[in-house]
Amino acid sequence: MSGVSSVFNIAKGALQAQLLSLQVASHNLANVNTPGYTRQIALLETQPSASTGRLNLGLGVNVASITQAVDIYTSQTIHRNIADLSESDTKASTLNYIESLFNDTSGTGLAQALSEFWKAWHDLANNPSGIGERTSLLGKAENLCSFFHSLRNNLSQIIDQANASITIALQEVNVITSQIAKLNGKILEAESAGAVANDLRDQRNILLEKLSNYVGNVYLEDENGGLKIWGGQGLRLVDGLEYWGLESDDGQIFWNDIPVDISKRLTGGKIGGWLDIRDEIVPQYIANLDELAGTLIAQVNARHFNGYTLEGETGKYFFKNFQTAPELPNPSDYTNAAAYIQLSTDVLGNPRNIAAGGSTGDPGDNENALEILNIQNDDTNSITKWVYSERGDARASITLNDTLEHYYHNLIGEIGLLTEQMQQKQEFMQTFLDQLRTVRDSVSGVNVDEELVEVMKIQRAFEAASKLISVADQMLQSLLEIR
Amino acid sequence: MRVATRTIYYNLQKKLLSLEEKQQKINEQIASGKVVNKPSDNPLATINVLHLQTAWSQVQQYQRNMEATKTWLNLTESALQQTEELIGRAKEIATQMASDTQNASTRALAAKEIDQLLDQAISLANSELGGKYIFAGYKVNTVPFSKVGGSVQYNGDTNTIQIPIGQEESLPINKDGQTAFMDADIFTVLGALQTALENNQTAEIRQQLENLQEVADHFNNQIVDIGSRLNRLEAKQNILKDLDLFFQERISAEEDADISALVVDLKAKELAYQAALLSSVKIHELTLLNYLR
Repeated sequence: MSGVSSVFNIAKGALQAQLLSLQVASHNLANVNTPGYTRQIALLETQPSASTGRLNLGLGVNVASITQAVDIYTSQTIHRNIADLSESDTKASTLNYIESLFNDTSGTGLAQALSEFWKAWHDLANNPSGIGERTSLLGKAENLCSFFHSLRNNLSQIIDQANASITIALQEVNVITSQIAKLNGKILEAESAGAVANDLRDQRNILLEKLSNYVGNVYLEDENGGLKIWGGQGLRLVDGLEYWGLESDDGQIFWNDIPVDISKRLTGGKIGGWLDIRDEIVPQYIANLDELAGTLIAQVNARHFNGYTLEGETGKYFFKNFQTAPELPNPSDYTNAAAYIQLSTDVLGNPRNIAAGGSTGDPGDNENALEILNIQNDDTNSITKWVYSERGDARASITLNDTLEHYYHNLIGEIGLLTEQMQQKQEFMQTFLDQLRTVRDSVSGVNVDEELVEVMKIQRAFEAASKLISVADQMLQSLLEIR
Repeated sequence: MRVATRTIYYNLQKKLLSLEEKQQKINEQIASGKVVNKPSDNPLATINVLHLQTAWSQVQQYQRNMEATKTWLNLTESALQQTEELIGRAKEIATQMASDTQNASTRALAAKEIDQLLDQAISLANSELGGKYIFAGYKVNTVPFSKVGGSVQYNGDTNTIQIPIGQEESLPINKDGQTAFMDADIFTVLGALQTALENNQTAEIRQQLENLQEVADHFNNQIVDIGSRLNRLEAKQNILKDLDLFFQERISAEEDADISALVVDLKAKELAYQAALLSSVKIHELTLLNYLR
């Protein structure tokens, strides 16, 4: 077909194509601020030509497809790094909290309480028969015990919080995987006709990023456009229309209701972060705090036991003793010591029973008080230090020879160091991710000016096509005017 | 590179937030006067500061211990000195009464004075500090010297009270009554002198005069010993005073903020913040929309 009617057809096609292009540009402009939106492009192509005899005449323009400006490689890198970032985010904010629990730089904390405790022994040594000094020492000791308890308690609460957060996060993960499975179905359906389901894919991408936020994962698109997702180490979460749920029960995590704890296989994301905190970071500090409390109890009691009270009696404990405590049957195992530490019934409410005397109950005898004071600066004290790794599966202990106070100071320093490292990692990951997003958005993001120019270009093309119709119409008119 | 519109705004937001965070950090340091406010601000400095604070607080404790020690030693010294003077007086009397010009009645009178001196010596040996007997060894609540029949009996023990004045360093603060008084036989000698005077025995008086000299020598030695402890105490006090200052300076060097540097830093951050705000306005103005009519 050729001639004037063909010009009409070309003009009509051009008008339609420009209108479609305008619609895509409008869609882009409208979604300039939509999170996860990928810029769409209307791909124009020439209409397949028709040959009329020896000529090959063009038949105008056609919208071949509407595609997305995707940068697949950057997108995958972003997914991986989102999991890393949210893991270090979770750890950094928890460490900030732990750090504030151990913050002795302001002069109120366990270190201060420990130093007050030794000062009270000094005062007792200066005046061994003074009931005021004895009562004050018991007060300082109780204060020290309550610092141990509250630190221990706060650390245990972090574990409870981690478990609660993991439970909620797992529910979120299940919602996300079920939605991705549903979207897989919709995309399959929409693309079966050959078109690309751009906006559905955007939605699925947002969900995938959300999933990475909760737990590290790898994904793969199959030939039909469906996603397969594995969480952690090879746990199938989504495959096309199917998905598998994760449940938590009493600290354990089950996959697909199979009662085997798979928590060790989940890494990255908020869940990975919380699991590291729950099984490795916090338990290590609890263990070391227990060692400090246990060593203090053992050292003070060993000496106190040999001393003499104001009544001339010997064999009294200062702190409640391990051997006589049913909760702690093993004297060399200090587990729970920081939660347990308390004054013995010998001295509680009975300051005269503090054994300040070394050989007698005489009011001037301060030998045992001096003996106990020696603990403060004794750097030959053996005290165990724990290092946990692999989520608590690997526990190494070394025996240090140091004063109790230095041991605790170093513990604070370590927490500071870990917090600093985690903050730096978090900042680095954030910057890296921002850069990756900038790179991705340089391809996928909408630029308003660019779209506006596009709109102007389309407007001109539309005007030209309209002009074409009016020219063709006039030509047809001229023909019709022939009599 | 293409720049997406959302990237421009996102980067602007990030820049403003990060500048605000930095300003907040500097503000915190200026307000607290410290550069180390949390362990993670500087983990190594934190450990150093905590170690130094412990050592510093011990130095302060040793200084307090020494104040108590000093009072105790001063009182001991003064009691021993008074006893020495008392022995001097007894010697004077003995010398005077040993003369052949004296008779039974003057000696009887002198015997009464010696009796008084003996009572004074016992009361000096029973000196108290804050309700505690300083010459009783560990038995600070027991009256150490009492008259039983004709002689004086010691009820204390021979223990020495040690007070810590440094790491693994302590100072004995007392003289037990056995060493200070009984070993010198002061009460026996005074008693014997009194009896000799009462009985008008010139030879015995001379004998006791010689004995008194030995007692005086003994007390002199005791006083010298206490004096040397006080000297050691003062020397240690000076060392601790220096240490006290040293620790204050070290802690300050580790954790105190350089306020003027921080203020300059804060100004720089403020400037950057204002520049970011200005550029956000400029970016907002720059758009093709302004030229489309």
